[in-house]
Amino acid sequence: MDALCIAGFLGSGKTTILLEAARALTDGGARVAVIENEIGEVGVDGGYVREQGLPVRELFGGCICCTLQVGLVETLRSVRDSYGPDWVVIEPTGLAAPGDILGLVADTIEGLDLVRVLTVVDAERWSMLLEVVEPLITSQLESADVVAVNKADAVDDQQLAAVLAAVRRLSGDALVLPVSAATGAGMPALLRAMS
Amino acid sequence: MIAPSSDPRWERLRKAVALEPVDKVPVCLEGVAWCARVTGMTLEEFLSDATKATKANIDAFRLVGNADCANNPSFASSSLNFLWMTGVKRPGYELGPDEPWQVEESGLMTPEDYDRIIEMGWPAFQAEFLNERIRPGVLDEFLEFLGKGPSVVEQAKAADMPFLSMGIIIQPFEPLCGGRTFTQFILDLYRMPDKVEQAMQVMFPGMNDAAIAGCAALGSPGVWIGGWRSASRMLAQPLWDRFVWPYIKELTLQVDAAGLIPILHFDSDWTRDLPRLLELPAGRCVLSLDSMTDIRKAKEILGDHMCIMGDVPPALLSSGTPDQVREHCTRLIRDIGPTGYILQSGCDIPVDAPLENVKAMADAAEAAAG
Repeated sequence: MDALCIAGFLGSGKTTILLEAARALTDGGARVAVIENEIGEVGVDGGYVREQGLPVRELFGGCICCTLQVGLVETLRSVRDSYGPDWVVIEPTGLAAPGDILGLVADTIEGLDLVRVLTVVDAERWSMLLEVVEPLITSQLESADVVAVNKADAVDDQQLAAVLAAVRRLSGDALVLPVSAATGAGMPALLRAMS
Repeated sequence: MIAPSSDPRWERLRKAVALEPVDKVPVCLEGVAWCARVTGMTLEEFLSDATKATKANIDAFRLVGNADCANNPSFASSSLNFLWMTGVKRPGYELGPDEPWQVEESGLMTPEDYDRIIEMGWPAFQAEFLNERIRPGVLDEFLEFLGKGPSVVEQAKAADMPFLSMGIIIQPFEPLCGGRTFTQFILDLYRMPDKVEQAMQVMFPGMNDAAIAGCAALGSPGVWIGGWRSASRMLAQPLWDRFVWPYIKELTLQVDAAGLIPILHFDSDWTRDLPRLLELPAGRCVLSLDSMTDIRKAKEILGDHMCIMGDVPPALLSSGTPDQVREHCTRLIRDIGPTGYILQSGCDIPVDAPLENVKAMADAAEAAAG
């Protein structure tokens, strides 16, 4: 079983990209399961993803912190044992850093071969988010394998170039790709990069 | 504060806070839902009455056997409504009878509410908000829970279960962030920072006076000062310096002035701002971490300044083996203790943690003491 973790701030377009990624994997013949690890606006994304025909497990926590990690481990095991997916796509809360989750998953889930991280960045709100939640955004980029700079169509070329440069500076060796999940621009390249 | 005592458990806790040598690293149990599950009480029953919640805490404390104290002796889900200004899905109501309660952050507070807070003052706004936008009667439920404080204390004392805190207090960031949702709140900090700050300055004076006075009257050794969404990991430095730290610092000083131990319960990652905690009174505070902050860095920076508590990872307690838990705790005791350290789970013991794993945590402290 391989895992794809799709990180990014709330409202950056993670769920739309998750659906595209899951669909591409399914079209390639893989069995795919989705785990939604949500805080806030509870259940919205999970319900929507389920409507798209994908098996979904949702995680909730009595506390807004640690119990979510615990639930993720248990849910991953449960999904692995009950559904036997080739890929499990994890959408952690927009307040999570994938590095926190990766360590936990790698250490505790047997039978997990590969964990890839896709971080979704909101080009339109980049400057604002960086000014307000810079540590969170940085932590979401640090462990990314691929970064999708989403809503690339909503900013002009100069702005996009500035966002891409800043993202590349913060995300180390990650592949950084501009996309528009809304129009589909750049999505084929992103899906190829992830697979 | 904790007075000198002939009870070795209280004495260990007192010395740990005061940064004095201990005969054994004290072990604290923090895990409200876990206490219910491990004692066979449904979460619905656990939340139905403060006395039952306390009984579950006591029974779990006895099952573990060699812990030194419980963190909080009781719990009510209405406290989460009160602290975060959010809905809470409850077992037996919106959830199955034994499903863990869930904070439901759905943005019940609007941008216009900042003006209402400024006009009405926080207590009046909060009361109206809780009853009209969260659930009618929720404030009365919370007040009823608080009213049982004296009997909860008596119950814990009769059962010979030391505890650290009878209350949780907060700075304005947390309820505003919960009420607005994190996403909307950080947009507010960007778009209307002066308005948010004005509301905070109206909220803060007196915001926690009753809770602090109540804890002092009940003989609680300390008070939790909660930090969740206001963590260093979340916010850019200038915003944290403006909207978080001044309030935490002042709150800590208020608690200390009331003769209580400020227990800084900081979830998520606060590593960046650990040096700021040196501004707090030395040898009088506890920093409780949830395994996301670098606890070894905390020891390096604050080891001579404040007691550190934590931070056995919840996932390890839930999914690890007793041997793994014991090894992890032994390393923590070696690196963070023995002086100025209280061994505890990182935040709550998870609801599904096996008893053997929690026992292994307590046993590790015994073994390290020789």
